[in-house]
Amino acid sequence: MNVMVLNPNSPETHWQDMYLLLLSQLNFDQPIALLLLPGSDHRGHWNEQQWRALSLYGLDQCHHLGTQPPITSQALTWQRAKDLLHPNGAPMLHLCHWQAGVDHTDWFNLAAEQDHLLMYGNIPSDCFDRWREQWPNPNCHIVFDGTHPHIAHSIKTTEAAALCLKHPHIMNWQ
Amino acid sequence: MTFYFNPRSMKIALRIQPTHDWIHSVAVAHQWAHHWQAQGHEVVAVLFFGEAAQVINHNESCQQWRQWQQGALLVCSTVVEDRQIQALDDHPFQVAGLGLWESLTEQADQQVVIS
Repeated sequence: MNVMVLNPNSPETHWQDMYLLLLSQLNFDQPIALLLLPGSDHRGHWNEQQWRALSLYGLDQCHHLGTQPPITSQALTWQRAKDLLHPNGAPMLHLCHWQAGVDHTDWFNLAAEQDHLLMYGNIPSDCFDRWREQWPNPNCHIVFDGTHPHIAHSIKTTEAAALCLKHPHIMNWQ
Repeated sequence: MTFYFNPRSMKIALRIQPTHDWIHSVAVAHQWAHHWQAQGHEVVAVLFFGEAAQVINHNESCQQWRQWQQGALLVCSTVVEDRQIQALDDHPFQVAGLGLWESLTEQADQQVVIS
């Protein structure tokens, strides 16, 4: 089952895009679950009518780590949420485009022992070292695209492209 | 759905749900598709989900795809109609819904889904 992860701290435009995608997938009877990360109040992004429409379209799995949304939803621990993202223990690839001033690593709690992290952007080496310490395994890489200084643990874009073919489901984090 | 890895030649369908950092999401998708093709794979479809106008009007993103030489079909799916789409007939994106995507992915050996 496809799991759509939504971060309450993402901009409203992103939530509206994801809302349309969610409705489309439900319309095509694709099995999908919604996982809401902790953060600000979910109600500010989708109105009551939108939430109701999700139920009408057949969304039968909604999970939350923080605030209860205005539809039937199951409260999860980080561990349960991680299990939800890794059915059958299949490893995942996580992508993150590092941005100065943004240091959210809550979602590291959703990374399993065998997962990989590919980081993009001009991340300072000391910052990357800090992220590597928090990542649950050594599979933490910077993708070297030639536009920033080559630092340790970097891999080429060709290696990154090959790696993602081995991971059918990839999470894109902000 | 069964996924398998054939290092020699595969037909790949890439679906990406861009983050609000649209430039980066598009650049990564383009970079991967380029590498896969360089390795002898075929990219049968790329689906971005979002407002099509967001893709088309983004000069930097669009410029990358305009250089696309391999003939892979690019699909930008949207439910939101935008009149600006009609004015840009030469852009490489085809605006479609998930129905076309579903039929294209039937041709693919492997789907790569970026959520």
